Amino acid sequence: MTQPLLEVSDLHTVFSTKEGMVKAVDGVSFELHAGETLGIVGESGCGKSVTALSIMRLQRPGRIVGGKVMFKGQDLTRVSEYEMREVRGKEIAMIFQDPMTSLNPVYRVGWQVGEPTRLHGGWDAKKALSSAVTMLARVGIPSAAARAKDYPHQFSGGMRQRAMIAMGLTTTPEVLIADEPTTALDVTIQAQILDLLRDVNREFGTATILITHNLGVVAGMCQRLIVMYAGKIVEAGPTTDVFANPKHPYTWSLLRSIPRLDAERHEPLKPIEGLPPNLVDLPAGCSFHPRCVFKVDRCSRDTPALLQVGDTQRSACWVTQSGTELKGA
Amino acid sequence: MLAKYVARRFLASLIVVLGVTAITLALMKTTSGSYVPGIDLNPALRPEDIARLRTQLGLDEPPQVWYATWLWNVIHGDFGRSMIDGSRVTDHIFERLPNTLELTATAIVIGVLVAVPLGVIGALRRGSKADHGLTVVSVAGFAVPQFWMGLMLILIFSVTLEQHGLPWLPSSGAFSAFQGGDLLDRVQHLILPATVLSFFYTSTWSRFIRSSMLEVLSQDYIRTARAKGMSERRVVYLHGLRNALIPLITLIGLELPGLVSGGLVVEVVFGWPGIGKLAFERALQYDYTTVMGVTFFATLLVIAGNLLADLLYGVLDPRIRYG
Amino acid sequence: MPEAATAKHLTMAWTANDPLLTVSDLKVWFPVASGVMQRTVGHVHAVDGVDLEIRAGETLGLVGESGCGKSTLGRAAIRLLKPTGGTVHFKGEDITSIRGEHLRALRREMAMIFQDPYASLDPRQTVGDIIGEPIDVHGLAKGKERQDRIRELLRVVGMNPRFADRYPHEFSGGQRQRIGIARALAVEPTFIVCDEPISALDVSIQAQIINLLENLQSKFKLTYLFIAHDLSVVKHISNRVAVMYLGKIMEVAPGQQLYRRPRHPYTGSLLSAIPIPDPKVELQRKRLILQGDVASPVNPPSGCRFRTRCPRAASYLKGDFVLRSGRRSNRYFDKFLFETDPALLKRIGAELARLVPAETQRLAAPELGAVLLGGAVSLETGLPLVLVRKEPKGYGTAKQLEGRFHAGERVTVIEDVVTTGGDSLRSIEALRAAELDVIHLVVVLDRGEGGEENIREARIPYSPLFRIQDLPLD
Repeated sequence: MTQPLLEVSDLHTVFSTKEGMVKAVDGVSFELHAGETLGIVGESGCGKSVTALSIMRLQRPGRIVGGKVMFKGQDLTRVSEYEMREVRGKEIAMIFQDPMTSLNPVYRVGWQVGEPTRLHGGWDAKKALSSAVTMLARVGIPSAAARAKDYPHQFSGGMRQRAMIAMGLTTTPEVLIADEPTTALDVTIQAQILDLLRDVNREFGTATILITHNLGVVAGMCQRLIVMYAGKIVEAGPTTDVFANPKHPYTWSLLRSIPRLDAERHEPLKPIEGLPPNLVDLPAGCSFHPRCVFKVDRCSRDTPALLQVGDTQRSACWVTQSGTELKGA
Repeated sequence: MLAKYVARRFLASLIVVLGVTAITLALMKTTSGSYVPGIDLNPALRPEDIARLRTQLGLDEPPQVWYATWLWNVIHGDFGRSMIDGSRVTDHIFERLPNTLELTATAIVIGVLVAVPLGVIGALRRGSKADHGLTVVSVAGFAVPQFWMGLMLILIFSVTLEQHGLPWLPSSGAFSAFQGGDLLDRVQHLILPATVLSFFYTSTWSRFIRSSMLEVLSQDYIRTARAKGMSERRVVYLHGLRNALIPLITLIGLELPGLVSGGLVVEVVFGWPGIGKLAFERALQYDYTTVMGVTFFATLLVIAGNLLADLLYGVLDPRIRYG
Repeated sequence: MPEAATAKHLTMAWTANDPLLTVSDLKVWFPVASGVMQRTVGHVHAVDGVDLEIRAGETLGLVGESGCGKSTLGRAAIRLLKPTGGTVHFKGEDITSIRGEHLRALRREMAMIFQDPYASLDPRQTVGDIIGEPIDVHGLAKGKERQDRIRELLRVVGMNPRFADRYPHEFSGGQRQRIGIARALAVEPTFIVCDEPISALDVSIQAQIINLLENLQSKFKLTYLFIAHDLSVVKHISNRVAVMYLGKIMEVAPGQQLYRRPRHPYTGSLLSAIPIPDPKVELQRKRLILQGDVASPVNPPSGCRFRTRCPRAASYLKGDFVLRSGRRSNRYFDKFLFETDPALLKRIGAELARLVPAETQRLAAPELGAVLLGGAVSLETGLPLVLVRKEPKGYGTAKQLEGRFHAGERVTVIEDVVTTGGDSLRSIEALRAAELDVIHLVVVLDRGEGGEENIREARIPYSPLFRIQDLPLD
């Protein structure tokens, strides 16, 4: 196997709140290889966004209290702020959930899209703008040269997200982190943006981390997948394997709880009972055990580590690590 | 589009001017009783003289007739003569207006120049000693009455310094009566009143900029800017400040009437020969024509200021369109 | 008068086999105000002529993208909004404009569950007060009976009855939605509008609420109008599904049928856009990606609302066309396409044919210097086309079209004469989406001498000559 492009190991990020210390990211490790699309899936508060922000060192007011983020031979958690700025927007670009608020309302779109090349490439305004126009046209903004002169409020949500993607690509970064890029968009616009991200991945070979709560989006976009729950990775593996044969009860139950468009008959959904975890007051042992239908005694005492289960997957579950298959009604 | 907008605003402001002057007249009429302006200046006046004076000044007419006559004359460019000293109202105003503009413009400029950096510092170092210090000073800024602060400054910088033989600042007027009037002299006279007037605005606006900046810094586009890898300075001043300033423009626009009235107190305390002081003195003497003229111009000033603020708003915020 | 009204209602005998709720030609418009005087300059056609029937005991799903008017339709159906036009009948009774006591009595039959469980519960009221409020308003129970009722409702929605004394902020999103459901059930309604009841909830909680709603339906014989943007959820819970786009219903069908055989191009695109949580399926799916954005509901497209994004509509360009009149040209063409309902198009076609002899008449498109050349009608669709020639300068490209157009002759429009080096349809759609003002026109531009793109020049201002409503229709 070739050297991974980005290697996150044992990352810990915490937030201080009135109710106490919240371990938003609690020992997360994964690798991202050149050109691949990696999905990070989980519900709100599972730590998937904070993981991405921690890679960029934009996790404030949270603090990274442990772990490494290795990128091109340097540990991003330790480099100076100045060196980090050279990484942000140049080698690792990021796009965010809400395209309506992610562009500065008082500057023209073309100016904003060209900003990374002015910052990192030292390009003059004219050159930056023309590269911005080219990139806007590439991401499917019609009449790009004219629209570059528009302000963000003159763009629709889908077009703003296209502009955000264009902004990320102007410096041809090696990694693109997309944090819920389609959650705020309508499904037909979501399909357009996902199509564009596929194109970008193909054409520029940009390795992509796609963060989403939508299992359908992951299924169509990602080669590999990480499932997070309460700040930890509970399962990781190739997308097809994880979907076909989940090795963690959370993944297993989640897949059974969502209605599928292609379902042949009406079958009652099988919900995950109980409430989402409270990060301030996590249960002892495995955080998922109060909602788990497979739990054994040990689950409420000891926290399972993320270990190889089966040929391709890793899972943090005492049950599957002991060789038990997940089956049920 | 913009010209049409300005024209519509102008039409709307005419209504405001009419309303404000009419109310001013009504207030003076109801409080003056049978008082005739200027009669206490001349004890020799006999009752028949006073009656003649009343008729001459139009005080016997019902207020609406007086107002209509006044308005008719104003439309024809005639603001009449002062009921006290008989000189032209416009002469009074144009003599005083530059002084008022000098004082308020200086106060606004100082206010913005000081408030913006202080507000930004407060926002960037939230919770620090500097931030707490700024909070204390600005609370003082709107708690302390302007007349008291004015008197204290006079006590310290004029009276005490002079007593100790130190260089001191003049406490009254816009320039020295003798050998004065050059730039240095005017600036010396301006320092104390402008300090008092700008202090209040500095404290309000710096708080405002602080909270506005804090809000802007929590916006998604600031995160986008950081993710592009720019320095925090660039993030704050290029992407943050312009957005944070937009609401300040409205605030200044809204406070323009306050600037004129606040200017009144300061003008009276420092004997500053502006139109606020003029209005104050003449209102006490029921000099109808002068007060009406001053009201008219002050209202125009406020409207013009508001319009300016709105237009500036449009320059700063592309989402605003005038239609 | 009230007696007469009541009598009239009584004459319309309603039986349980009739639709519970019937909506006919329903319109809800919201004024758009502008300027200092806040004059009404137009209307948002949120719901614009909807016919729909909801049968007793069924769940009718209503699906559509944001801004399509589905929530407005739901609110108007239970008279939380007063319709601008059309009628709503509930149990055979016309409830379109009832007021006062009559409307209050109706409120006992209908309830609504809202999207945002955080905003729809008053934070200063206890859970018991929130659920008890509709009971008090309608005077359904008092004292201990009321308390028992509240506890029973909490039990029904799967919550601990002791929670009645707590406040909403103590609960998670899913629990709050349960409280909202208990409140809706408090009046013992027959009909409930569920407006995006699960879209604000975590994925793992959504199924709990869906199952709860299904159980309550069979337990209390409820009828649902289930509004959501997620077609997989809607298909799961509904007997029939109505697909809404820009204020109109595009298609109504049983869920499975809708999925297997969509009869409207929009349904097809919507189905294709929804990701399926199965990589084996997802990686092999044929994707039908809609171009552009939804048109403005203030000025909705004439004819079919969907035509500005419709892949079928765009495919008309590939068909054969007859040039009705005009003259031979060996130059390159720009084409303007009209598409709307066929009757209107015929008349437009005739009108255009009348205009064509004025060959030298310039279009109001000075930057193109275009000259109107002819009208054309598609053989395949009967839709007319207008052919426009640019002023001679700068031509000589696009040799493939030379000499192909003659009056009365069959011509084929070659697909790849367009810009951007890519798929022409995509460019056409993109152009349309970019410029609302040319919504009636499709512009196909040439590629320049060196292959450079000419898109920017294609931003043709809306020409009065081509404004459809200006053309004489009789």
